[in-house]
Amino acid sequence: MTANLLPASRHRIMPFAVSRPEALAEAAALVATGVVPMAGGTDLVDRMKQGQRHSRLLSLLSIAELRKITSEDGALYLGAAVTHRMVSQDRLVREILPSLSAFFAVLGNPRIRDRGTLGGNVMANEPGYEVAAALAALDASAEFLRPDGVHYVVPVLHAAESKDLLVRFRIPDTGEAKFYWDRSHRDTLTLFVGQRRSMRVIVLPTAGRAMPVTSDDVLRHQIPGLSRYASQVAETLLRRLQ
Amino acid sequence: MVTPVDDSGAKANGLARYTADLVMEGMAHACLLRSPHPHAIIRKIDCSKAERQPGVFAVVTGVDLAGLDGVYGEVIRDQPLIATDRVRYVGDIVAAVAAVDEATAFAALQTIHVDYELLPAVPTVESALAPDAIAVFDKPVSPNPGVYDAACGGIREPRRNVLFEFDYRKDDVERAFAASAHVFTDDFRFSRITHYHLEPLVTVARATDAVIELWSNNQDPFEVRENVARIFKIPEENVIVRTGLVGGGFGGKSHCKTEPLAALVARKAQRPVRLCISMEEAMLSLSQHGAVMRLTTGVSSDGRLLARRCEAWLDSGAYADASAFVATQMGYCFPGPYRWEALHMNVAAVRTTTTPAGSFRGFGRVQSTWASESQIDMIARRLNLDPYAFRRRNLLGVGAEYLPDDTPIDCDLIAGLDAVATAVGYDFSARPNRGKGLAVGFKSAGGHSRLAEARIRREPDGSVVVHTAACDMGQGTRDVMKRVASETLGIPAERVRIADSSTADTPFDAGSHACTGVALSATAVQKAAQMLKTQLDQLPKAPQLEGFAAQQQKQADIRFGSGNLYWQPAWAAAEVDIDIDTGKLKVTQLVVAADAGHAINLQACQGQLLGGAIQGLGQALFEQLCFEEGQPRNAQPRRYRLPTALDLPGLFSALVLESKSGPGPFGAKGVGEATIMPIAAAIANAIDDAVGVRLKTLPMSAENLFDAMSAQHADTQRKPHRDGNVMA
Repeated sequence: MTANLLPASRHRIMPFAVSRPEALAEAAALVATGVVPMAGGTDLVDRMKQGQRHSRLLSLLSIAELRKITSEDGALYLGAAVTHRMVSQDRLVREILPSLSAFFAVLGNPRIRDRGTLGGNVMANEPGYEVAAALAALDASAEFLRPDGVHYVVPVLHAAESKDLLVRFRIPDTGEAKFYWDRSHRDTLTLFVGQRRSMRVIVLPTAGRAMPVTSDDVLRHQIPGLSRYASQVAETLLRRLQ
Repeated sequence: MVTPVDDSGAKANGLARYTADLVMEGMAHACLLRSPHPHAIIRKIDCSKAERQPGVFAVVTGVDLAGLDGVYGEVIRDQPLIATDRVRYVGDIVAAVAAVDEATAFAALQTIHVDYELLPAVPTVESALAPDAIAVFDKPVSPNPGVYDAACGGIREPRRNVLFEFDYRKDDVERAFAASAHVFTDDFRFSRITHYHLEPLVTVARATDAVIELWSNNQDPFEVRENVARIFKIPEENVIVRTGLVGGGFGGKSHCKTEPLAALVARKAQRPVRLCISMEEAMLSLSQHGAVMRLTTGVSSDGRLLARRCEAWLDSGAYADASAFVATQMGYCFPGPYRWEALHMNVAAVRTTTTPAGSFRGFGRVQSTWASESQIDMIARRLNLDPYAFRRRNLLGVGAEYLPDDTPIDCDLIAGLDAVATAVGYDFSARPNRGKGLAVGFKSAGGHSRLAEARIRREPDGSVVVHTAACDMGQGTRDVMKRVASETLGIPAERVRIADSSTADTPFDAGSHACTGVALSATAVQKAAQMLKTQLDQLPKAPQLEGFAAQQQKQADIRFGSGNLYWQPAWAAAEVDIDIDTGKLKVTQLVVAADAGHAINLQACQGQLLGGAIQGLGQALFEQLCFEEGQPRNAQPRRYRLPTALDLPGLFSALVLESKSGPGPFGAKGVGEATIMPIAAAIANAIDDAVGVRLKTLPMSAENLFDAMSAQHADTQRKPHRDGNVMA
């Protein structure tokens, strides 16, 4: 055995170069060459403290398109580099999905809300991260841009598998959508529910990955991979929401 | 009137200077390579690549300890500055690199190849005490194992994997049990948490063969000096330790730590070296003691506590650190502040191949209070007695002796209990699934006989400078000293400055331990100020005058050498609301109280009381350092669950009681370690009150409570009422 234990520290980050493009296409091209995109940096810098080496970074914060919140044809678009605080304070989001706005107002802590972005949270794909789970309950998709200029869309829970530049998230049919979440048992799991004609339920176990489930399965304690106790919690919370 | 602690402004806006901020000309940065294995023999270390890296000044391994007395530890010196032949926990230091910056040092560490031969881990107290257990040390480290040591109150290394044992008897417990109407035996488990001080442990060292200078945030500058002098075999006056503000400790910065290693690296690098360990490393380096405990208690037919046998096995981790002292202090206070006819206390500090355990706020009495105050409640409920009345009946009165020839009880234990019980409305009948619980934490203060000195100088401009080596770790020692000097001399507090300390010219202080900052160090300041005042009265025109004084804690006068300076009880009352579908518990009320003697800064006292209570609350409900087969599972800030503002109780308050009986200025006592003690037991007792379920293991997570409620499902309808009736 030769593995060594090297704890993290910000002082151990090696020097790196940063580009700050303003155009989306330029950013997409840089990403394709292996430059690592960084928005708020809360996760990336943490990984660098753990010893991950990146000699070239790309700041996304000066690309206006990534910082926009818009609505069009009943869909809500949230830019990849929009911070949690921007969502919570945006008038459009508050009008269309007030409970989503309220959710982002209490995500993480004030510093995380101020620095952290939706795209960063989703692409970091860390266990227990909530943004993908919340957006998935609303059936959201993630839009990427390839270096050849082609845009494509994937379901938000698969976004982290993509290697291209994340541009924005799309929440469809906001007209009749309702969003609920219950974080009261966050040491076990958090429950996200999106309601239109039908209900979409996402269970996010603490330090786990978002699990799309049906409400019937939750009520019957039939969620594979969830402990007996977590199933009990999921059922209780869902029953109370109904 | 409420006035903020003196230096809070500078701390809030980032102007306060800490040791971590120190930059020195030509300073190199050191990083440490740590063992990834809980237990292994080091066959070979290949540093050749690291040594050749550009920007690397020195690579240090166990080989560099040749010719030095390279071990440290309290009572039992078993911890090498850097591993020589064997590693005993995940995080044991194997190599150090000093380089032009941390990134270079870090990169060099990654090229070091260590050839380990794995040994079986000894991950738990049970595995360490098993008949076929692997020995963490092949033979005793002490020169005189198995011998009772009066200075620390117990026996060094009595048997395999037990590094220290405390044992004390008062009268004959067996006879007392035989005469008791009821005898109850219950087992408890205590989790371990990490200190989580925000400022890392940091040392800047400058060393030649003859002289070693350290800038350190260790809270024991004189103890560090003594250790460094011994290790490097140079006179103490050739070691200078300088200390400024310290950014939190909770025990994590007490006693010798990585300071001598920083000096060793600086010597080899031939330049100043800064060794600043990260938060992750701090979590691997030292923890609180986990414990397995068994209490056997005899009670008379009319509800009098008669006798108690208190047994504990502390998980001390791989090395001794302060475990011997923790075991002694825990054993001493284990039975709780009640009138006992017979006692037997036995505490074993057990070695495991996990993070070494050492000083932690409460110093063993958080463990003992959890078990003791849980069982007191359980006994009352079994006898259909109100736990509140049961405690009131048995608590020691003011002036009573806890143990023979001990410091008499110096505050009103019953009044403290009444205060918190009243504050939460203890007598109101509970709503369904809502319950209230009480607990009394009990500890001595002052530890093992300490000395504090202070010097105070009046400058020509009329201002004064206080020289003391008592360390301000955020608890507000400097603020208290300013107020004491100001009050004694009759000058405004703004005209008093507290100097940073240096062992070269600051008077001696045994270190900020066991709540002595106010009780001893500030008393020395007060006496020095009084002496200065006398001189001023005689020589009002003298340009510069000095006062000096020492405050010595009385020598130990009970068998095992506690030499208790004053009593530091704490009271807690909790109300919980339980979600019976999930076991999720809400603390709707938490009121804590402690005796400040005299509150020199009321707001700072309240801050200490609330802070201690929050730390206790986290440990009660969710906070825990987890190990699997000796591997830490969550020793990273990201994965370690700490209490946040969202976890605070609905009603949360602190009552600062003032008995005026403390040994400090104006009758003051320390309060920092008090309120962490009774929180977990108060909550466990409230849970029992609410749903009739008893939890005896920490943390009391929702899942654990749910499982316990499910197991007791048939009985949940039969909840014993406070007045003794059993509700059908």
